[in-house]
Formats: sequence, C-alpha cells, structure tokens
Amino acid sequence: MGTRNFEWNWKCKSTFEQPPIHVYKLEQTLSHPLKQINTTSKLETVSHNEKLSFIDPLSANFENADPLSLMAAQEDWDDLDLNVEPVKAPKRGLEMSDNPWIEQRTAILNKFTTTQKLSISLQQHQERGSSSRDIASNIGLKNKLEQLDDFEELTLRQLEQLSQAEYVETVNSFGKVLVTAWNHDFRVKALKVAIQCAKLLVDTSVVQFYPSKFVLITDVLDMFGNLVYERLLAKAEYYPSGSKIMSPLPENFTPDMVPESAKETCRNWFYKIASIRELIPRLYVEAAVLKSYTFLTNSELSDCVNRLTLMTRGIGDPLVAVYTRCYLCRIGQSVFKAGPELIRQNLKDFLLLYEQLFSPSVHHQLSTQKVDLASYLGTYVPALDWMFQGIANSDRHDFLDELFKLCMEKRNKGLLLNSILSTFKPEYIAQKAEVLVQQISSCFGESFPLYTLLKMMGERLRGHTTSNSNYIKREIWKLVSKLENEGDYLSCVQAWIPFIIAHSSTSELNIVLGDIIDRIGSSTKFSCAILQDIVITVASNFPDMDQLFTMDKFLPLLDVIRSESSRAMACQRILEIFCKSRTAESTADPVTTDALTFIAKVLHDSVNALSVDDEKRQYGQLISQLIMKIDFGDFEQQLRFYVEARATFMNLDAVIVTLVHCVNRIAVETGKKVKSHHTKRTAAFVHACAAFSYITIPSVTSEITRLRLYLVTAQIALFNQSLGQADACIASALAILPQLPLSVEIDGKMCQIQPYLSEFVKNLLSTLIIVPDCFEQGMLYLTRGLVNMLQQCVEITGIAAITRLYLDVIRMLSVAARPEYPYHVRKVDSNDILYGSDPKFLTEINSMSSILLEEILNNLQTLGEQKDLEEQAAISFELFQYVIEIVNLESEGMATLAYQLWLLSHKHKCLDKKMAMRLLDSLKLKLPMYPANSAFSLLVSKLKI
Amino acid sequence: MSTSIDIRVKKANKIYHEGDSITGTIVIQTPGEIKHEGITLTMEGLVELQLSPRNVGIFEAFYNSVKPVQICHVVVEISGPGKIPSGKTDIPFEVPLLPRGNKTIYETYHGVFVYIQYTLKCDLKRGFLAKGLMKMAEFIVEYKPSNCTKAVPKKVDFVITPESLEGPRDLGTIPRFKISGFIDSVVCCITKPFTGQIKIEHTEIPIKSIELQLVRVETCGCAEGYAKDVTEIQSIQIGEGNVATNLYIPIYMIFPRLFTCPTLITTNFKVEFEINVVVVFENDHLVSENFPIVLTRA
Repeated sequence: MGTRNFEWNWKCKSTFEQPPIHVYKLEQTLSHPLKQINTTSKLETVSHNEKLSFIDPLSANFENADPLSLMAAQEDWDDLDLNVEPVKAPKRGLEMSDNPWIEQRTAILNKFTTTQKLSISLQQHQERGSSSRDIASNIGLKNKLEQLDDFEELTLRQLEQLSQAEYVETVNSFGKVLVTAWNHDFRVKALKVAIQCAKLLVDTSVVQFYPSKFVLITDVLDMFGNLVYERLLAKAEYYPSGSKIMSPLPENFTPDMVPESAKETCRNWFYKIASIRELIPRLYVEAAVLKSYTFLTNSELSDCVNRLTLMTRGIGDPLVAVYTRCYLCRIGQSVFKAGPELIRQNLKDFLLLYEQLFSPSVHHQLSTQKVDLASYLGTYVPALDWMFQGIANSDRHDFLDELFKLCMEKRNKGLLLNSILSTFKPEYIAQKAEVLVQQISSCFGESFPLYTLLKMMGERLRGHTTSNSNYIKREIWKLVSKLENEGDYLSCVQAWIPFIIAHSSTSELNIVLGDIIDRIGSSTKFSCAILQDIVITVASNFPDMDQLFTMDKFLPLLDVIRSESSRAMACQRILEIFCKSRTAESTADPVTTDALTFIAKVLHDSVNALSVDDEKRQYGQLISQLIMKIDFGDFEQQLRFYVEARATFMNLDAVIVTLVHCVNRIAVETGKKVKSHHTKRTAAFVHACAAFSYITIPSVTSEITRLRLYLVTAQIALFNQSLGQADACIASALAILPQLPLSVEIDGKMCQIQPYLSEFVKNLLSTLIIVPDCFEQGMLYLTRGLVNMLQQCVEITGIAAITRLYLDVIRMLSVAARPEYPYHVRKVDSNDILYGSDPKFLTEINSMSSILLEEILNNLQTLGEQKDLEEQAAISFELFQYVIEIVNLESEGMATLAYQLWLLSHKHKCLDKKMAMRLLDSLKLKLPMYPANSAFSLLVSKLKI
Repeated sequence: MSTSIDIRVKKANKIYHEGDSITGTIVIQTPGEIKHEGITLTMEGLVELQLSPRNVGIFEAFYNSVKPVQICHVVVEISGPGKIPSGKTDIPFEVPLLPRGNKTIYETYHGVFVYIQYTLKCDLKRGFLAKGLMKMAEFIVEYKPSNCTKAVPKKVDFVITPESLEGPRDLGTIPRFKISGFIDSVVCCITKPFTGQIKIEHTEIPIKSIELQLVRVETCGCAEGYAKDVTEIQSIQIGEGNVATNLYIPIYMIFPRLFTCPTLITTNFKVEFEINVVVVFENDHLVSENFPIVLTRA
C-alpha cells in the first residue's frame, strides 16, 4: 500500500442521529446470579424432608470418601501395629462398647511419656506353686510343660535400661508372641505371656510412664481375652432345637445352649487362672477373660466383677490399684453393660484409701524417683477421670451427689476436685459452683496444683450461669490473684475471663483488666499467646465496641503484650470482630474511633520488610474496612480524619487506595447534596478533596492502580466542576503511561499489562469526550497528549495493541466531531458547546484523524514486515469497518482506501471467513439506502471474499 | 500311619460317680485290615501309697513297701477274636463303676504320697508273634453330692499378734502388729471357693505380701507305724505390697481339681488339708496362722 495522504472526512457531520437510549427495566432479584444452581434444589429437599439436618453442600459429595475422616477412623487401628493380627475385628469382642476408652487411651499414650530408662523383669515366681504338679505329671501335662520351658528360656533374661520406644516395642512383641503361640495351639504359653505382661503392671519404678504402660499392657490382655473368647465360641457349636446340624451359637446365647465340652474347656481356663500365684496378674488375667464366663453362667458375672473389685483392696500401691479398678470397670462395662454401680463401688473403695496417696511410703517412693507429688497425682488423672466420667454420664444423680459428698470430705482433695470438674456435666458444676469454689480455696497450698483446678472450673463454666455469680467471681478472683507463677495466673485468667465478662459490669471488668496489667506489666516471662487470647476474648464478648473502649485499661492491656506478632495478631482479631459485628452500621464515637485507629496503627506498624505479601493484604483489607466503617456524618471532619489516617497508614497501599476512594466518595456526596450548584464553601471543599486525592495517589506503588485512581479522581473532579483538577489528574495519568512495566501482578498472578492498559485508555477516551478544552492549551490537547504518550508505549505493549488503541482514539474523535455529544456532565460545558462545531475545530479533528490513520497504515505495514499477518488482517479488517461506518466515502480516496483495506485483510487468508461474509451480507442489506452510483454502492459491489 | 487305639468316654469332663456305667467308644484307626485275638477293656481303681523317705528311710521308700490297693477291677470283653477293617472303627462299650468286694470307692486324688487313680485300659491282643496294642485313659471319680453330708459352715475368727505366735520367739525383736480376720467356714464344699476376710489393724513394718497357702496332710499308716507328711499344693497371693490398714481384704481361693479331694480318713491312710494365712513383712519375716479344714463334696 502506498504512502498516500487521505483526507479524513466525517460522514455524519449533518445527519447525526441520536442513538436510541435503551432503558432497561430493572427488576429486584433475590438470588445471586452466580450462586450455584444446585443450592436451590438442595433447599427443596430440605423443605420436603424437614427432619433432615443441614447438609453442607461442600462436604456432602465427599462424605463417602473424605480421606481425613477415613484416616481418623483408621487411626485407631494403625497406631498400634499390634492389631495386625487375626482377631482384628472380633465378632463380639471387647471393642464394641468402650469407645470413650479409645479416646482416653490415645490421650494417655500421648501425655504420659518418659525419658527415663525402664526395665522389664521376667522372673518366674509362680514356679514354686506349681512344683507339686510336676510330681503329679501325666503324659499330657508333660508336653505342655516342655513348651513352657522354651518360653522361659526366651524371656528369663532381665531387660533393663530400655528407652520408652524400646519398651513399647517389647510389650508389642509380647503381644505378637502371644498371638503366634495361640495360633500354634500353645495355649498355655499364650497364658504365660499374658501373665508376664500383667506382671509388668506391678512395677511402678517409673511413675510418669505408668499410665501408658497400663494402656499398652491392657491392649495385650484384651487381645488375649478376645482370643480365649473367640476360641470358645468356635468350639461351642450346638444343635439348635429341632435341627441336626451343628451351628455356631447365636448372638445372645444362654449358657444352657453351650455344649458340655466347651463349658469344660472354659472351666479349665478359669481353674488355671485361679491358680496364678500373684495377685495382680491373677486379677488382670481373670478380668481379661471375664467375658468367657458367659459360657458358664449369666448370673454370676456381676458377682464375679464385684469379687474382683474387693480383691483389688489387696493391692498395696494406690496407683496400681486405681488402674486395676479402671480396668475392671472397663471390662465390666464392655462385657455385661455394668451400670454405674460397679464404678461407684470401685470409687468408694478408692476414696476409702485415698489417704494412702499421701502416706510416707509414697513420699519415700517419690523421693527416690525424684518425682514431685503434683506430677505423681497427675498420673492418677486418666484413670480417675475415666471412672468419674462413667458416673457422670449415667443418669444416677444420687450416685453423683454421693460421690460429690464423699470427695468433699477428703483432705488433699485437689485430685478429686480435678476429676469432678473435668468430668461432671457443666450444669452440675454450675449448680454446685459455690461449694466448689469454697473447696478449691481450701486446697490452697496443697500438693495438687491449684491453678489446674481454677482453670478447669473456668473452662467448664464457660457459657453457663450460676446462682451466686458475684460471690463466685469475687472468690475466684481472690484465688487467682494469689497464684504466684505468672503463667498459671494468666492461664486461669484466660479460663475465667468469659465468666467474668458475663457477670460483671464494664467498670468491674476494667478493674480486673487493671489487675492483670499490674500483675504482669513488669514481667516478661509469660506466654504472649495467652494474653492475646484474653484480649481477644474480652473483645469478642463485648456486643458493643463503644463500650469496650470506655474501659481505660483495655488498650494498655494490649500494650502489655510484648511480642510484636502476638500484639499484631490480637489487633487483627479485634478489628475483625469489629468489622464482622456491625456490617451495616458505622461509628462516629470519637473514643472508639481513636481506639480503633490506635489498634489499626499497631497492626500497621507491625508490617515491616519481612512481612509476607498476604499478611500485608489482610491488614490492608482490615484497616480499609475499618476506615469505611467510621463515619462522622460531617464531611469536613471526615476529611480531616482521612488526612490523619493517610499519615498513619502510609505503608499500606490498600489503605491508601481506600482513602482515595473514600475521599472521592465524600466529594461525590457533596456534589449530590448541592445538586451540582456549588457554593463557595462546597466548591472549596470538593477542591480540597480533589487535592487530597491528587497528592495521595503518587504514593501508591502499583502503576495501574495509580492510573485508575487518577482517572476516577478526574471524573469526580469533573463532576464537581473542578476542571483544573480534572485536567491535572489526567495529565498526571498520562505521564505515567510510558513508565508502565511490561507486566503487573494481579491477585498474585503475573499478567500482561496490555489488557489493563487498553481498558484504561478506553475509559479515559470516553471521559475525554466530555472534558472541555482549556483555552491556554489549545484544542484537544489532552487527546493529543494521549496519542503522544501512546506512541511511547509501543515498547511496552507491542505494535498491534497500540494500533488498536489508535483505532479507539479515531473512534473517540468521531464522537468529538459531532455537533452534540451523547452525554454531558451537569453544569460542565463540553467541547460541543464550547466550539459549537466550529470548522476550525473540525479541521483540527480531521487532521488528527489523518495523522492517526497514517500512523495506523504505517503500523499495518510494519506488522506485515514482521510477518504478524493475523494481527495485520484483523486490524485492517477492523479499520475497514470503521471506514465504512464512520467515514464519508464520497470524499476523495476514502473508497479506494476502504477497498484496499478489504483486500489487505483478505490477502493472507488469515481472517475468519464467516465474519467477513456476515459483514458483507449486512452491507448488502444497506445497499437500497444509497443511490446506485454512490461510492458505497460501487465499493460494496467490488467487495469479494 | 500305624494302627492306633483311643478310648473316648462320653462325658466331656470324664467325671463319674459310683454306680454309674461308664460309656464311650473305642476308636481304632488302622491303615490296613488287622486280625486280632480279642479286645478287652479293663477298668481299674488303685490307691497307691508311697512312704516318704523322711519317715521310713530310703531303703523302704525305694522298695515301695506299701502295695497298691485295688479298689475296683472290671474286665469287659469288647470283641472276640476277629478282624478289624481298614479305616476307623468305633466300638461302643459300657463298664459299671462298682467297688471290688468290700472295698469302697474313693474320689480321684493326685497327691504326693497318696495317689488315687482310676483308669480304663484297652488291650488288643494280636496272636503269638505280633505285638498287641494297648491304650490307657484316666477318668475321674467323684462322690455323688446327693450322697454326701453337707458342709456345715463353721466360722472361725482369728487375731494374729506377736503374743499369739507359737514357737521360739523374742518379743523384743518382733515388730508390733495386729492382724485380725475371719474364715467364713473351715468346713468347705470342694466346689465352692474358700472365703474369708483379713484386716491389718496396725503394723510397725510395712507388709510385703499376704498369701494363702493350701497344704495337704497325707498320713500313711501301716503295721510299722504311720508317716505324716505336709506338702504345699498351691499358694495364692491376696495382698500385694503395703496394703492399707483397717480395711477388710477378701480371702478367696478356689480348690484346684485333682490335687484336692474331700477329706479322706481310712484305716490305712488319711488325706487332710490345711490352709495357712501367711503375712510377709518387708524385711522378709513372716507370720502365719494355720487353719485345718475339712473338705466335703457337698
């Protein structure tokens, strides 16, 4: 294509038609268009079937295959590899009814660990007793004794200096030996192993590990019990009445259905167990196989458990005894659904002997082991908790009261109180709160750590009301204040603060907060996390933020948090609470706003070079929300606030952006209020607003954001008739254009700048239509400036994009040439009125258009040279459409140009044929509107695909 | 696989009373057909008395000076001479359990010096050259509870103090203690547990263990005099470690089968039982209280 000059000539000079303005009927809608469709169907099902509880649509689909819950379910089996054995899922085993035990079990294993060395001693004590049987040897027994000898050789060595892991491994290996022996029909050997295991429970040499040891060993014993039971069950096939085929026993069999041979085997087991010499192994092993009693009798089971309970009295060591009781109760519950009576009996016995825990012999034992009494008592907690739980979960309130009374009568009752507090229902605790508080205070100075009790009670009372709350509050606070260790003190405060908040006035709470500050203000050794939690709890328990800040101790409390990050975290949470609590409301209270600004400032100041982007983003969002919530109603005060805020939150771009928007908003509000008839005062105010934005925007880092803000500010300035400000903003925006980076980060992703630039330019162009020219600057100087700047942007966006933007500028110019513009700003005279379609102005536009056209054609050529043929075709086709649409084809050369553009766009077959066809069709439809020999008709007739 | 004989009695627990007929089957398993000269089943009850070397001297003990006494002896011919086909052959049998002559049937008892045992012996005679097959099986004889006198509970209280101790002692060196308790009955039914309670009222030295010791007292009398021997059957711990004071601890023991029988007093021998309550102190000193007991079947 040659470098010919084309005269640009607008065709719609005279015959401009007002484009129809489509006013869409607005309808209010209740549903969000982007909301998932299936939600509605979900709602229907819920209404049909009202019993159905809410189904979380997110999790509903995954319910069957949630890998985490599957894993959690699996966990019970996985955490002990012992369970990888044949009795994995016993048909009628022990596991069915002791789910609460499983939880307890895991908790114990996690809590009671030791670094001390453990030892396993496996002497064969009971050989003495069975010596007479050797004499009375018969042939069958001999074999069995031989088996035993093998086992003794295996384990007679003393295992000492084991680490905890080795110990666990050893006990597990006992389990494996037991199962292997059992599977090889060495039942007596299996029994021996079980006895050996149970015997380990006699040893309390490492007290801290005892609960875990108990768990490990009872696992083995349970396994043994199941093996015995399963085997008897397999043996006990019977003839159902009227049938001649042997079949296994039904689920709920009665002893008279059991054949004699199975009964005999079962009896043999019990005779064997009854002759175990040592008390503790006998108790445990008998308890473990207790379930098998169901083959012999139904009625004696409970008698049997009661007998075992009584026999437990013979155990001298209180720790061993309490865990034995725990095991008995567990077995009782799982085997024959023993009611709370069994636990009650055991607990009563335990309480009878409670003084034993503090006896000199225990003291002696502890001093040799170098364990303090508090942690010794701690080892009782799981067993006691479990038994207390059994009582607390039953409906027997008389037992509960009895137990409570018994516990209260004891001295050193800290341990008992702890179990009461942690297991009884919160309602019960709330009801007895007064007594409990008195009892707790009587524990002051005793061995069981007081703070544990206070903390536990506070946690349990959370959300419950008590009758005499003032008294309780006072007493508790007295006790808490007495605590010496700051960590203990804080954890108690943490537990009680919800209660205190719920039951005290703001001023009282203020005093409490003051106490906390006095107490810990000076020290540095405490957990900031707890303090942070306290602060957050206080904040979240206040329905009204204004009230919160009337307490003059609240903000100082925040200051007490030494750790930067904790403090920032607390501030963040408070702001979140504030933002969430009053989504619709806004506040104007100066105290609140000051306090919140202070909090926000803490948050803002915690941002440093090391802060993660995401953190900054979160803080920015929060502070922005806060700023938007503060509304004084008075615009000038509001602006002052924004100015201050800008000074305070300099480092967070998000906040700066929000501030600009806020100021723009009040500028618009002002303009709306005066209905664009600005008085001197309002005019000054909107100028000030524009000035605020104008000087604030440069501190934003992101160029594209700056561009947008400038444009918005310019539009608003225009709306407020601040023409100078609008011009300045646009000029500043234009100055940014050449500095734009190649790509920007939007929502964490790197994007090409080009689409954002085009968007901005288009937006700017539509604004430029109505921006009136400044007389000092010459016609359309801003538009010209834009074109100049765009020329410098070629490097950034590439030639094709710039060419397209040129097309947009041409488009804008076509509108600017109209005698009347499609839209105006009220009270602002745009160029159509200023120039009144002055020929000079039109010539200017035409010359600009010609220059642009030339530029475009040059670019098209460059594109061709760069072999970017697709772009070339697309742009030339677009230009062709423009020309056909907006140019007066009659003017010289234009028709030729159009035709050449058509040819160019088809030259390399890169154009979408369908689109071209459609355009051609529409052009042909228009033919009748033009005379036959017009340039248009001639052109259209020439066009071919 | 060679030929084997097995005796299977019908009752799973193998317990029979006097006058019962013992029923069961003789199971012969053979890979090939065998010829035999007859199968007989012998039921025999024997009382074996052994003299303790302590009492009668090694020489007499070695020669087992007391001959076993046959209480009962019944021979039944299961089958006359004939053939047993290959495979498994069950032959039912029935033998009455009756005493021989004027003898009385005693309960089965496996002791040290007194041994009462009942056996079934099956003999398969195989001509002159081939070796016969033989199988023995023990069965258990108990008195019929309905024929026995009921145990009349006889409660015994006891108190153990340094003063109550027998034997040589020096009260100055013995720690102060008081242990009290009771035995529910010293006349016990053999199938019921031995029960009672014990309480440590006070003690100067911590206790290490409390045990129940069951001992048998066997007396063999003969022309030359008699020998009495006391041996332990079993020991059961009922208290472990320093048990709490002033709290009743249950005494509970199940009598082991075979090793105990109802107290037996005959002209030739006696089988009696005693229980010792043994309290071991931490310094390994021990005190014990002895309770002769009478065992009955009902």
